[in-house]
Amino acid sequence: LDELPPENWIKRILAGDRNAFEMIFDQYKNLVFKTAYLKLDNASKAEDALQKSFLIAYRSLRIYNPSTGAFSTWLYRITVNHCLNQRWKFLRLIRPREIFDEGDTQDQVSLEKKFSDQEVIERASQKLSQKLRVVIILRYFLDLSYAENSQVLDFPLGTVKSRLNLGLHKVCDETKSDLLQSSTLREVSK
Amino acid sequence: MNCRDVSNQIATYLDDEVSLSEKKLILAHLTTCEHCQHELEVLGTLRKDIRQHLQIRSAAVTPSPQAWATLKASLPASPPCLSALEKVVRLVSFPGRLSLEGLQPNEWRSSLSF
Repeated sequence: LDELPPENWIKRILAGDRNAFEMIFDQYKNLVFKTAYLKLDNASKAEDALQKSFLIAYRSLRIYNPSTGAFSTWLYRITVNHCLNQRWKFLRLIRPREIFDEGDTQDQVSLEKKFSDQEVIERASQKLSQKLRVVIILRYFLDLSYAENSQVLDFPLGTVKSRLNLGLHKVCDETKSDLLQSSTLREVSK
Repeated sequence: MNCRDVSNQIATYLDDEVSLSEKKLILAHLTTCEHCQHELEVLGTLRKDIRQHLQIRSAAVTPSPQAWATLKASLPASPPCLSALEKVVRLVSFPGRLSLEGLQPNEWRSSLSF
């Protein structure tokens, strides 16, 4: 994780310097936007989350306390909470995707090697519940430690551990099931 | 430690977030259990692939070039400051917890400090 301490920038922002806020925006906008995109699965909503997260951060900046955690962790917390709120506004439908790829003739490839198939992982990730998906994004996209994950989500450390473990096993099971289903469909189609 | 215990901690082990004593117990089990060795290998590969997958998916999108201009236009004219209500809240009951200035009720939770 970071951090060049942004405390100096924050002091400048609180003194009315918007250019300092632009520097913070430039530094974190990509990670905030991409985290929201991975969570919401929609670029337009991610753009909205980016705007809203930074607006909330700006308005709440005076209460940010550096001694309690990194600025980025605080910002990700605002982003994740905003995204979780969106969940209730826009109940997402899982997009139907074609399971069987007729062009795939690599029947002999082992399951482990097939884990590298991005489409299979995509399908498996889509089936995860929101609470499991978010810990996986925070851990494996933002590289947050378990302690930081716990701060962002306001969960006990033990909950983060169990959800990450469960999430990883579920993706594994879904991936195996997906590949077996593909193999079965191929057998039937022969 | 049995197979179930190891399975329940395998992500934590792979992320190097187990304690030293837990690590020793898991390693001791792994040396004698092929099933768990296999599970560790599979989940280790999957973990790398998930990282790669998230990077690839997110690489395809970037914030709009107008993002800063849009945000700048919506920022309050004055620098962030404590509202009178917030000062009362902080003094009376929740010191350092809430910033209510300009926020809608459903945004309050997002700005909770930790």
